[in-house]
Amino acid sequence: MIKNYSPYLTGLRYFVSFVFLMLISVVCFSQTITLSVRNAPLQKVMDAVKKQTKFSVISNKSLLNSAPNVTISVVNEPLTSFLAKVFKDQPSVYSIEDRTIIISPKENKNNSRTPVPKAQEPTVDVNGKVMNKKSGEPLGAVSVKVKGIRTATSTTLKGEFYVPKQSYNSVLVFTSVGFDSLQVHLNEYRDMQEGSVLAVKNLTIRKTDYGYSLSVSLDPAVSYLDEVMVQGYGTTDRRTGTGNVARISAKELEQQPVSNPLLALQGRVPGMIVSPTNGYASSPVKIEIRGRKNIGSSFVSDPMYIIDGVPLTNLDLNGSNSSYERGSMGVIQNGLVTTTGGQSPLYNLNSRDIESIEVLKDGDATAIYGSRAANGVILITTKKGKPGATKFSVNLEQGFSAITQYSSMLNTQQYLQVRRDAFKNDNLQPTATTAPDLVTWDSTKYTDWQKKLWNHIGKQTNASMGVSGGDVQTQFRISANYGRQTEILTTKGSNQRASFAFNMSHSTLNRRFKIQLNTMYTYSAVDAIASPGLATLPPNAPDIYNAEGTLNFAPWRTAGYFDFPFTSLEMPYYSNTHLMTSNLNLSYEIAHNLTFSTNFGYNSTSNGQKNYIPIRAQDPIYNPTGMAFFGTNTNMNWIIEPQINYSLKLGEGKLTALVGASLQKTITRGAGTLGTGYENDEFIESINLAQQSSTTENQGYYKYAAVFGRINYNWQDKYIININGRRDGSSRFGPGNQYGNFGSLGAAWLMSNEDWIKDHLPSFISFMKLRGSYGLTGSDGVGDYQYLTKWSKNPAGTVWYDYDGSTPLVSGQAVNQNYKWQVNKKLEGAFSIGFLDSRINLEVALYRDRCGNQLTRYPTPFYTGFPSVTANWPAVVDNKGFELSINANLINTENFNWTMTLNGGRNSNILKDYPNIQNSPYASTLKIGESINTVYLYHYTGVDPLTGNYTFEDRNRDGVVSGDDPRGPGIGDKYVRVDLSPKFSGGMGNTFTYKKFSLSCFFDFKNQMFTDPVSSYGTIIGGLNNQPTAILGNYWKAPGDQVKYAKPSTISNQGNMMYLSSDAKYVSASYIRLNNIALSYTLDQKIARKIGAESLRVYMNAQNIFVLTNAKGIDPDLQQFGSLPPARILLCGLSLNF
Amino acid sequence: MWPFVKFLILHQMTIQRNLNTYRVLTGLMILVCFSCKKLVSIPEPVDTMTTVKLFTTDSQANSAMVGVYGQLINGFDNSAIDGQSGFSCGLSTLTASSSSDELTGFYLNNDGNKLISVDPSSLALWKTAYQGIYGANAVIEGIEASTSLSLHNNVRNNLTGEAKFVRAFCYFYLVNFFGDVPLALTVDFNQTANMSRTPKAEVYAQIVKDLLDAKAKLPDDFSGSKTGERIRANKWAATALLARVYLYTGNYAEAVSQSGEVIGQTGLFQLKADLNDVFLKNSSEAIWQLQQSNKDSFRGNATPEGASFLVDISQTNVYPFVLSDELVPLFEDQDKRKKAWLTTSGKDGKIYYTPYKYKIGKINSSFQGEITEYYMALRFAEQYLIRAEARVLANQSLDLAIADLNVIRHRAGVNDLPSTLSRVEVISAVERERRLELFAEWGHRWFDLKRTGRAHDVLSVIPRKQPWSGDYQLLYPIPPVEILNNHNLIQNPGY
Repeated sequence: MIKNYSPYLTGLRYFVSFVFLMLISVVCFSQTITLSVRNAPLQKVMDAVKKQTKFSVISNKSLLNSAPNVTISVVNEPLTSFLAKVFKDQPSVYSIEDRTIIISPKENKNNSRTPVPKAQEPTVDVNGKVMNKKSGEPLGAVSVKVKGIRTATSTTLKGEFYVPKQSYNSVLVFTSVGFDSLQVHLNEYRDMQEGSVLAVKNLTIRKTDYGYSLSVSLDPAVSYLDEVMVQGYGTTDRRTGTGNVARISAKELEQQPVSNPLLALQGRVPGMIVSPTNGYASSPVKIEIRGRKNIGSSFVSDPMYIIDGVPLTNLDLNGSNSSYERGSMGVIQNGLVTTTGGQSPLYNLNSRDIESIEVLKDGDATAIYGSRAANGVILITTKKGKPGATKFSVNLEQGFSAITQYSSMLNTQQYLQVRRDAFKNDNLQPTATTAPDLVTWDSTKYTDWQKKLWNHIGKQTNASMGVSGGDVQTQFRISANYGRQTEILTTKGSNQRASFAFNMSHSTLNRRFKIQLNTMYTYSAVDAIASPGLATLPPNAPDIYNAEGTLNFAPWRTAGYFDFPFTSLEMPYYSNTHLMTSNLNLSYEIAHNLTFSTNFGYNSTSNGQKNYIPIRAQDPIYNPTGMAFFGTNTNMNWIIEPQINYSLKLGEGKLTALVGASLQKTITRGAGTLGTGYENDEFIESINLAQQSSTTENQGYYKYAAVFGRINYNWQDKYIININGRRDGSSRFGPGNQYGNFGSLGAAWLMSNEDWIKDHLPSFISFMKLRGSYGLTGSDGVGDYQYLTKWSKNPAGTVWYDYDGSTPLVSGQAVNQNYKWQVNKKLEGAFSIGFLDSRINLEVALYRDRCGNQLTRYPTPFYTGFPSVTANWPAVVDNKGFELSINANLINTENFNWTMTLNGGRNSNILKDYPNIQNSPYASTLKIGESINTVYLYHYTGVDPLTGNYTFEDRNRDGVVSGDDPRGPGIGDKYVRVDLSPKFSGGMGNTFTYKKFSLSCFFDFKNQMFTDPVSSYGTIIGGLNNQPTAILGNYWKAPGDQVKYAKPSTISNQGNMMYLSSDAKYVSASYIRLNNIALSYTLDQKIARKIGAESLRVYMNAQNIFVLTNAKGIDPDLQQFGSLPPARILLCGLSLNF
Repeated sequence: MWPFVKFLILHQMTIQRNLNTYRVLTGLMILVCFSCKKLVSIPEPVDTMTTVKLFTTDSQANSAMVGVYGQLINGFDNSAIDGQSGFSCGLSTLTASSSSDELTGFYLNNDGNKLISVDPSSLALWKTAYQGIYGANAVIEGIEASTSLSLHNNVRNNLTGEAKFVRAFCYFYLVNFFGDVPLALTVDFNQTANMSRTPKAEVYAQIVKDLLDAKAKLPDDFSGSKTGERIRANKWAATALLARVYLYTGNYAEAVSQSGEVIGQTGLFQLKADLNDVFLKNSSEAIWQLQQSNKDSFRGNATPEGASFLVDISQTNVYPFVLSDELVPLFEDQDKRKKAWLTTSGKDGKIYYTPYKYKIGKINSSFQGEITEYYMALRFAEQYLIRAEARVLANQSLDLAIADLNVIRHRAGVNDLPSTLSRVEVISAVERERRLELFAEWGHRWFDLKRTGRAHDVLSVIPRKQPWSGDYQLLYPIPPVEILNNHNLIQNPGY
């Protein structure tokens, strides 16, 4: 179990236990006894002592039973003299430690006092008390074992124990259910002076004349249910939370060798789909939580990202190429279609600096973020310093990546046969222009183009170090890391990333004023080369480079290939990004239950790009000149959030309240300069040497203000109610529409804390909870200034020339001042149950997200002046589904531990309502009651055995297979419905630890439809492009053939076109992927010490190990054929702590 | 329920007890709310200007109108390098001429009357005409809404007049290409996005209304132009277009009187004696020209039509626009127009005639070179032809009609028509003269055939239009994307 307390809390804990220890050490011994017994057993006498003095007594039971009876009569006799009288004639001796009387056999005491023969190892007695560190109360029934010896005892109800006659090599192990175990190496305290006291973490040790007296405090083990989770402006846990928060810990992040922390979330959070947009490390990652909400294709599905309370907002500027399909372009906002398809701002973050990532999904969890929470919220919390001895850690890693598999394509012989068949079927003679592959090119040459370019072992090297430590008042953490990674492309391509993080917190001695600063600076450098579409190139096509080492244009051009496929190999792309994020938090405790705090946050990204099209990348016969694009992108966010926290015991419950305000500003700028006419490739790196240049710039301002509040009332841990409210104002709306109100109501009922239920529950059920929430959130994600008329000289990048001696101004957008907040209504109900002391936990959540008043770009006819306008869409889209998560600690013994997690989510997307759909732009593509991702297709009826052409069902029996029906989608011959949204997705993880080995593996799975790769190679079998081996023996050759694929032909016909709009194009691509394996071994401490380290761990992580799927193609997540596929990564590392 | 009720009651009490806390909270709330408006107001963008701000001064408002002219001549995405992307920068000529018996545009579907609904040039005509209308509407509405005292009345009148003229001009081409079209008279998409097609007659009524208004508002000289050039609409541009509209709509008496008004402006307009001078910039025959830029590296200082027609056909794999086999033989040998306004080139053993009204084309233009020609939109000579035709159709004196025709013929160096011609002969002479004088200009020939009802008879027998696909081709298709976005638009029959 991972413990995660905020530093304040940790500090407080230390402080409290410190005070507690001080108190108990000054308790005085002025106790007296009044007793009169005759021939009474010693046991009885000691019981009386306990009763009168409240001292506890520790002894061996047999010792007391076998002791001679006692006769004594005293009045107000001091305890010490009383005991002296009692034990005068006893075969045992006593001692008093704190408030404990320890009785031990006389011989032992004598032994320990008599000089020990040198040959014999000296022994000591150990006694003491065990306490619960959190509550400060004594802990009974704690098992006290001596390592390697079978002797064991346990503490009394008052937490006392006694272990006699131990050698200095003994290791005492304190274990108790529900607490972290603690080990005491006596050896370490050998040199202590008698009577001296030493306090280390969780242990105060005092050397006495007979041995040691310990005061041990055990940390309550944090169970899965009580794990602290970050939520908006506070923390919560699974036991008492009312909302849906999923947490991914640092450990899960660290063991995944992925470049972007977001990719480590793949399959880990039910209901969240994480898809890499392509195989480049820095590429944007598309995240969709609980289904597609907006019909608009320009609306990205990304949730809101918040790092340590500071939103990382990158405005999607006009013309930035962001879209639902491609995701947000992220850092790159100047409109350049980059090789990597934009850049994820989170690529700059290193997983090693992240303590946890929380995903907020339902209304209760997200409503506190108001208008920007429609797509969910991802909170990233960075690592903080912890009090204790200064720790120095170092990690070194070396990894390798390679392509998982290649598309299986025809070889030259097979390919040429298909081509010959095609010409034969067409009754055409191949000529040098129509068939260079048959006529001009070497018919014996064979190149596997995929292997040629992707057959590279990418390497990655990472090094990181961290120092953390501090005392009760001040803690700090400093970390730095550097990583370099090369892509799997054989030509070029590498990424570098370096970061530096600093965190410090301090509190005054009275702990009323606290201050915390987090700062992180990261730098990344991307060097990428676009990969051409390889698989379909004819296998006997000429080489990429000629003998001189330049691109081999001539033979391709003369063969009629006007677009030389490999130009991109000589068009380098560089992108350097600096990301700085920082926040300062001040808090002051006005009264013991009232705290005022303020968070100041700032982050900025600054990016520079270079993309060259040198002369050498262009066919020399056209006398080309070079081109270069120089882009800059900057993004800045600042935020100020004052808050007041208030808590109160109210009745039998606890009330906490939060009121705060938020003020935020974001400025995003994207600019690019295109230089053309370079006469020389040497000049290309400077814009000064371009013959012409033109610059475009886009910028967005965004301001945001809000007041928010939360009231939480927890009545006896049985009934919990949580109310969030927020009033938001955004600069993205026109006058009068800037403010909106959002809020949520969440409630939880902990049934297992209800006596009348508890009594009827079988004992193996330890926890039961029902919770539900309803919330309103919104979205203002439409870009800036959309409500303004914008007259400019160069709308959308075109420059208007002067007319009549004046500068012309042209209106740039259609204007609608009346658009308002998009409203998402989130409803959720969930049931949690825990078994076997909550070692096995299961939660099922049902939800419905209803997105109405959709804010997006609404298509308008051209005659209105513009093709679209920002407006609220009348459509209502529902996403309904369920999510399941199981966390089970199946085996937990001293040496072996097995934890399993399983999660899954099913979402169904439905267009609930769309008034007047028949007059909308979507009349022919959307249908009420169907998913908005549904496509309507012809039904493919196979290849006509007579003609060899594809055939389709004439559903409406009108004699022709015709296209869209004017009455709407799904009515005419295109009636087959295929919903392209994933049906079910999830993940399963297992973690095994055996002694010092730890192994974890993680599978993720998805049930989805995807484009059959065979169809994406181009449906004309027989054209000048290679085909997958799937067609072998399965394409039409002669009349009567019953086959799957049509006759080879060089001419496209209606059937080829319709094939791509038929159900034959989509196949099920469900898969199970072994996404991650992490193996680690902690070396014996002795070995670690030899090199001066405290601990030494070696590990091996692997990513994307294998995929089980029925789908063909390189990867079932890669829908666009030809993109660089995700690689398999293997990484070995070494972790040292000093 | 009880815990919650208790909670609420106690909560109230707590608030009383913790009045100080309450005050702090309320204070914070008030503070935040008080300055709410300011908190989320952002500066207006620096690279663009709002409508409200734009129409506050004379020169800014002028920039908006200049922007409309700029769009007309440059095409609407500024890519009208060779006259094919905007109705007002060459496309009307290219498409309508190909659809008629005037030019052969080998790669246009119009040529063989084989238009299909998704024809790109049909979409471009539609889209660009409506973008011009949007710009005009924005100027009209912007000025109307402006209360600025720095926007003076004479400027308001001039610019409103120009915008109304441009709006009428755009609608004129829309009705002639598409028939009934949605009549959008505002930039407010809420009012226009779902409209049906407005009957042609209503569109014409609006055109007349706009032109009359423009005529009243606009100056009667070229003082509207900062540079004093003929590149902005004035009173006579409105009058000239009005004359054409009256002719098209059968109001012949008005057509006679409006064209007569223009022809009477002898101080401003005269026919050029030398045909080679007609299309020069600010030529005395120009009622309204559009000023192209010389800053485009492809087009250089050529007009869009010049750039389209004057290409080196031996160097291109496609044939450019050439005169049709029907038109070339009509030129009499002594007709000076044949020599001055046509040029020939050979390819594949055949002689092709290309329009040569503009002398600067792709073959001889130069980037940033001196501009000698402007793109002629309304020409003085047309007014004589309008008056001639209207006089006949209004049953006025045939002699006067013949005299008007002879003014044009005289300049072309062909024999005067005898005054003995019958009414029918004069009508046919007008048609022929319009065909020869106005060829390759703004699609006159095709519009003439359609408005006189002779299109089917003339066009359906032309060899390259065989098989004749049907008279439905006399209207262009409404772009399907428009119907997709507004189901109230009904496609022209046949597409």
